[in-house]
Amino acid sequence: MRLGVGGALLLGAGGVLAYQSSGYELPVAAREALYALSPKEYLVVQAVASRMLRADEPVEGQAAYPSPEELGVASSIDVFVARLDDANRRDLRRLLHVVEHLLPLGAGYASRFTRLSGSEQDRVLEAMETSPVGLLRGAFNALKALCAMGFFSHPLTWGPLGYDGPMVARPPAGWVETARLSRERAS
Amino acid sequence: MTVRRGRLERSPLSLSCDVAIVGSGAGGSMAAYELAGRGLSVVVLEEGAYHRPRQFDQREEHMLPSLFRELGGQRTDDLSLLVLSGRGVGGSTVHNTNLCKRTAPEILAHWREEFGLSGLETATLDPLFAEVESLLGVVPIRPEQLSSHNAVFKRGVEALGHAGGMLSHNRDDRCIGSGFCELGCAYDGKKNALRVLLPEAMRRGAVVVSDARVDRVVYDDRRASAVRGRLLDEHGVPRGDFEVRCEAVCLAGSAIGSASVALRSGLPDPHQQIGRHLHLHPGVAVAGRFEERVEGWRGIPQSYECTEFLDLSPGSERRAWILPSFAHPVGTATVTPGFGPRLLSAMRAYPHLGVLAAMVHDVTEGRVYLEGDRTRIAYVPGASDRAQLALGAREASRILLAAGARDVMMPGVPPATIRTEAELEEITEERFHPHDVPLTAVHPMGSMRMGTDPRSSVVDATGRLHTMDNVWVTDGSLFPTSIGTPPQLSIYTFALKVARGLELA
Repeated sequence: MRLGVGGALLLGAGGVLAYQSSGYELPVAAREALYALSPKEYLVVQAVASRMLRADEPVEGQAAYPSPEELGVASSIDVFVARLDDANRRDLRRLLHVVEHLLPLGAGYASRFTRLSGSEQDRVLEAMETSPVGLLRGAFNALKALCAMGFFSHPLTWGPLGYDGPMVARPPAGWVETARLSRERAS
Repeated sequence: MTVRRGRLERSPLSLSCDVAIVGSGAGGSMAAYELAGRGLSVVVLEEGAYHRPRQFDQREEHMLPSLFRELGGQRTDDLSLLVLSGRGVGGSTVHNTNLCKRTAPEILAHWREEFGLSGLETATLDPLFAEVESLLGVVPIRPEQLSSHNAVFKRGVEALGHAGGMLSHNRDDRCIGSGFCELGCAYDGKKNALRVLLPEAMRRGAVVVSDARVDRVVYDDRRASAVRGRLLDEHGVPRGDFEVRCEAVCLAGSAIGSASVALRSGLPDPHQQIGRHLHLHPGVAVAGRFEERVEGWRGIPQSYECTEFLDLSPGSERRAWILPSFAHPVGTATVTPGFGPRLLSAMRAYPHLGVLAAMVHDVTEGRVYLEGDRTRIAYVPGASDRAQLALGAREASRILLAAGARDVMMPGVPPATIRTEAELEEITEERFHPHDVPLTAVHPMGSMRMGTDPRSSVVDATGRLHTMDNVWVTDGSLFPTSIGTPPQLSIYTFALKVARGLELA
């Protein structure tokens, strides 16, 4: 993930803010399971994913989505971050500190992102998504992509989508039946 | 096929050969095939891993990070444009959608006239294209292979009376139409670098080394003598060194990778042309919501095209190529507007979506450059290309509506929902400033372009660097301009042409 010169300044601030690490507690087992993120960064990712992937209300007949917590989205993002090259990993980690400390200020909240209410966190993310600063919009999209990777790759989300998943585990006998062919045969 | 794996090789690894080829995609594999066939000793060095078909498990979270540079997250330096390019033995041919189109005559004529390039006449190139098509088994996609998603697209194109038609591809009957082409083919149905060219090159004596990232070309004055780099472990982390001594070098690491290696090596570049003139074919996607279940993830992803808005003549203002562009859930969610309940609710329409992309034959020139140790891409579409993105998005939306979509979503800030002619007309260039609409590019080209004038190009008509006696380029880097069509067949063919003309001093 790259942010250019302006982003470098922003992320520079994120690098400084990384030293603000009090008040971020994780159980020992959870802390020891982290590959790339610090406990603070993990909690920021968890908070972002929680709002980014908050489920809708299913209407009658629709399956409910699982929660990002059930699927361990923050942990899968941690694994993904561990695979990034050093420079991209550094940028992403700094961005998380910017989300935690600077973006709430920009949205009018004198508090850390992780201590805001859910609706307040939504407003911070909305401000980021629609920011006049293109780099922040780009950073929002990068975070959203990480969350999407952690969530929509999980088979438990495929039912609500109406997606039947990979075929390698259930090889068809021949050419894949498409909806069109099925309909044509049925008619 | 036995690939030597850098993750397992003893370090330091030392090899010698006639020709060291950097990259194993369309360009590198074709160069290896041809040069090994001529009896030269060849070593192909690939930064990414070696995958066999059974490893392509059709899971986005596994395959996107494995098959694409920067785990599938490579973006331009302002984060506004996602640039997907391949990484792994076989390069982008492993995950592309197998579209095969020859370089258009208008493009070749422009290159001859504007860049003074000889040897690009139709009479010269057509036999080479035919040879490549035969080698890779290029055939028209059969009408019965048209997926439901492509059929919806065709319906819209025909309803509007637009120019359109079936595409050609390099798949054979091993293909079952699973629709997972962009995640690697578990059925080995792609007649690509990985299945056809590299095995034959190795049978002819070529050595292929995976997990081997070339950092620099070693040279003295005008002659390269070796390439050096790092062996990588299974996580892509350097674990050792290698050196391949050679009589010649072919750079074939894509328009991003080849320029990066040339810049890192400090190859002579008195006019600072290396990395410049980068083209990307930026694309925008729009999604129609249909009452019917389209199930766009099934079948051959792209088998039909609309060429109504594609005129490849120089100076054309119709430079948008429209074709289906369906993604699996992660890719779709990434560009679906909003977050939280709005995003998850919109995703419930997934089986009912028809998604089209408009890819622009771009005139914008970007740049590959180094910032410290990092390879960066600078590219911001200019006004002319923004107008083409708008044209493409507008006309793709119109096609979806003509096909029966009840509305069309165009992602962006703010996103647009399109149902009427008036709403179509609101899709203008003004909506396409950086970050306003998610843009994706899958065809980097032109960063080490061909030309006769060293002040404005990097390689000559034979593909050799103007400043070096024994370094050639055999990938899309050497295209002088955008080509406006899927580049794999052009890359294979120009690589064959360059390799056939390569002579060791």
